[in-house]
Amino acid sequence: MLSIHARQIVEGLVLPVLIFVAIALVFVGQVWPHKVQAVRLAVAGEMAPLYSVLTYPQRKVIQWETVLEGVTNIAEENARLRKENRQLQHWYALSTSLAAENTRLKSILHWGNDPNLADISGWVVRDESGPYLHAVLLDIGEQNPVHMGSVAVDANGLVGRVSEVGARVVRVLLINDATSRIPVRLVSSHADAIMAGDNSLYPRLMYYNQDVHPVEGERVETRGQTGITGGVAIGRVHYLNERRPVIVPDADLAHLDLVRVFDNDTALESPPAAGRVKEKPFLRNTPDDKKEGAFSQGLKHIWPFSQFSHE
Amino acid sequence: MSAHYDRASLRQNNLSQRTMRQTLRMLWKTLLPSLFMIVLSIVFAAPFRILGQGELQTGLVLGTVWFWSLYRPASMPIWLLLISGLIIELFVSTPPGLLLLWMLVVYGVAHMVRFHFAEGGFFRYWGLYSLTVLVGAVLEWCLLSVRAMMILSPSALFFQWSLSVGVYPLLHVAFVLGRHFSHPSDHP
Repeated sequence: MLSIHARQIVEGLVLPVLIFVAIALVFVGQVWPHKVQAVRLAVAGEMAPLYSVLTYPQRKVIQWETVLEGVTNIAEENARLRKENRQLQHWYALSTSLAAENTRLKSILHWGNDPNLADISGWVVRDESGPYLHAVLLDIGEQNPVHMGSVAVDANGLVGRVSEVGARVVRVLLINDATSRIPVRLVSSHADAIMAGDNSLYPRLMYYNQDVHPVEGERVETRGQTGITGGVAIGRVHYLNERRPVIVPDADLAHLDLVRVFDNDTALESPPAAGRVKEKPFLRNTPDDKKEGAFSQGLKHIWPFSQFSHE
Repeated sequence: MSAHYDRASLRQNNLSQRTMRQTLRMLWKTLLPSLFMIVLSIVFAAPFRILGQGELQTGLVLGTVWFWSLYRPASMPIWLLLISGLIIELFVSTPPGLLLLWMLVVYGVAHMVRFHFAEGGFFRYWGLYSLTVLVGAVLEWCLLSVRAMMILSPSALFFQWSLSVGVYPLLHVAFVLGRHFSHPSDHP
């Protein structure tokens, strides 16, 4: 049995010890973020039905709002749909002829078969977006697991890339997150660039050729390479000021609900041709736990260990 | 003899029932703030797409810890704070362990100043709370800047801090009213 004095000392030590434990936990979370994130993903997967129940009234209200808007503007809506339908018929005819021409040209070039894109879809079960972070968790259920880095799209365009994979839930890092870097191609000027998120609504365009500046309104799509499906629509170029080209995303990043993930881990192979330089394979910079061990790889993310990792 | 025995056993039963009821009531009063924080974290983790939802989640949790540690520490024992903090960590998107650390620091500061600022009133406590939250917000900003390998916008830090500090008076009023109506004997 402890004396009153000893008990007071022990009680006084509890808080500092727990604070020390919490600091250790923060350190572990910084060094091995994937391990902690895996636990959070597993919990989110288990909680998905509850989140679905919690957001049910909100979904219903939005649904009713949409229906009411449709009912009140029914004549206007009909006129707009007719106009859109005419435009779509025109685009359908054009795309059919372009697809036929594409097939013919590819057969001339002996292009071979394009890889089949497998896609899975999932509902957003948690929105982790805030001033620091822009990510969503998708409940993919029992579907085939996807790879890290697979691209995610909504009905309109690119949303982000898969950054964590759990048993039932995957985490998608949105394109406007500060840590997001995606290689892109400018469709009209055929130039390459990097799309970098900065936690604002519009990701920046960086590292483009200084001789080929992005054009205002130009379409931007993903650039195919190992781990990234090419040709996925992202948005349009817009200049916030003279030296700051950004991308206005097609996707509605603020209201994501159903998201598709294209699980493609292969790069499109260009046809052999004289004088064409083969693209270098993607340099893998992700930690290879099997070779060097998770401990040393985890530490490499933290200064000053990051300095030694380049040696 | 038998009647006397029955009366005694009846009194004993009543006493044990009352003790049981009192124990349950005490347990409920002790668990309530922690349960409130856990439920709040789960609800705010749902994808409602409310602007500042994650920051509000953090602010409400910290405000709850501050209020109960300051005004009714018996309802916020440290072991319960640790358990609820670990559970809440599963439902937030802050760097792992940071919210738990933040909760413990808020708890420590509240305990430290309980008797020193006894005559300070609400505004002095609120000012101190805002300083404590500012330190945590700066720490979070630093950790996320390290992870992103770039200096993040300080406006994010300000947003987190102002939301956490701004929501506290509402939380304070809600808790005071809640205590007033649920336990009128505590407020003569």
